[in-house]
Order: sequence, then C-alpha cells, then structure tokens
Amino acid sequence: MEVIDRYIYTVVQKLPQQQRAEIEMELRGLIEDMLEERVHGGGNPPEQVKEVLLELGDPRDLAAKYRGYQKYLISPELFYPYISVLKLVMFALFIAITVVYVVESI
Amino acid sequence: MSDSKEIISSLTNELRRGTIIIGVMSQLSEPQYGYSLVTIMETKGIDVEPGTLYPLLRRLEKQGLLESKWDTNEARPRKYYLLSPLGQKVYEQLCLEWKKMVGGLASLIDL
Repeated sequence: MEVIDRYIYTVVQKLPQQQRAEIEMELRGLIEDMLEERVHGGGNPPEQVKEVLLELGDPRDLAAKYRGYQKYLISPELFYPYISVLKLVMFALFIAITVVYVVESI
Repeated sequence: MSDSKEIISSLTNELRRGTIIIGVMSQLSEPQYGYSLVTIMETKGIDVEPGTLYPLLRRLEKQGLLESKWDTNEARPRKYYLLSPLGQKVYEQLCLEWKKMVGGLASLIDL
C-alpha cells in the first residue's frame, strides 16, 4: 500500500545505508502483524492502516529511536560555549562597526 | 488539577522506561520476535509500544546482549531474538540489582 511504503521510506531514509534494507523488512513485518491483529482475515482497509501508522507515531521520531540519538544543529553539550562565543563575536562586531562609523564621519 | 495528572503520567513513564529492559530480557530465554514480545508483555500487564521495542532490541543486540536470526521459512520473514550467553549473565546480575533496589525502596516507602 502506498501510504505504508511512504511511511517506511520516511523512517528508513534518515538511517545509515547498511541498516536500511533490514529495518525496512522489520517495519513491514511489524505493520503487517499490527494490521492482522486488527483485521482478522487480512486485507488492508485504509482506516486500520491509518490507525496503525498513527500508533507507530511520527516516522522521524521512529527513525530517531532506531538511530539512538536525536539530531541537533547545536547539541546540548555545545550550547553554552556556542552562546559565549556568539556574544563575544557580536560584541567585537559592534566595536568594529562603531569604529568604522566614527572613522568614516571624520 | 490536570497538572498533577500530567506529572503523575510523566513520572510513571520514567519509572516504566527504567524497567523495560529487564522486562524484555526476562522473556528472551526463548527465541521471540518483536511483535510476539509486545503481546506477551501486554498480557503480563507491561505495555510497550512496538515503536519503542524494536529499536530497543536492536540496541541490545548491538551491545552483545542478544543474538538474532531471521526466520525466512514462514510466509512472513521474522527476526527472532534470543539472550546471548553474555546477555544471560547480565540479566541475572540485573535481577539481583533489581531485588536490592526493590528492597531498598520498600523500606523507604513504608517508612
């Protein structure tokens, strides 16, 4: 089913190449198992498929769980050093611009 | 009013998160696949989401605590997990630690 394919693709795409095929197999099996539990007798009624995928949650969160860590631009460990450096740079820029302005207007 | 419900729910989840690994390992002395594990734990009263369990099993395998095998005989290929020898040792040790913790907490709470 297309929705399932798209869901699995979104999860798997954010993971390392080597793991992709296996995790895809795993997720397909899981979704099938979950569907079978709700629909005794097979078939993929769109309502149940939607329920199952909603239960699995945001595909990006699922990918994060498989990856084992969240992705950030600036990680918590580096955040405070980042802010300190940022303040320093802003201050230096401010001084430089002021100096240029003063020199220009003389 | 609803604040305390949220707090209770989030703290309970933290408690649960700490015990999932032992719970899962306790069922893996025999080969199980992801979804059967979810069902077994549900019947014992421990709800785990498949989306949490599957990555957890992978991590445990990566740590060397579990061994896995794909069963391609049935219509649906399934990945079966089993406690490795190291996993067995770790599990037994974890159970001892757990008993200690439970004992300690019991004396704290009952006071």
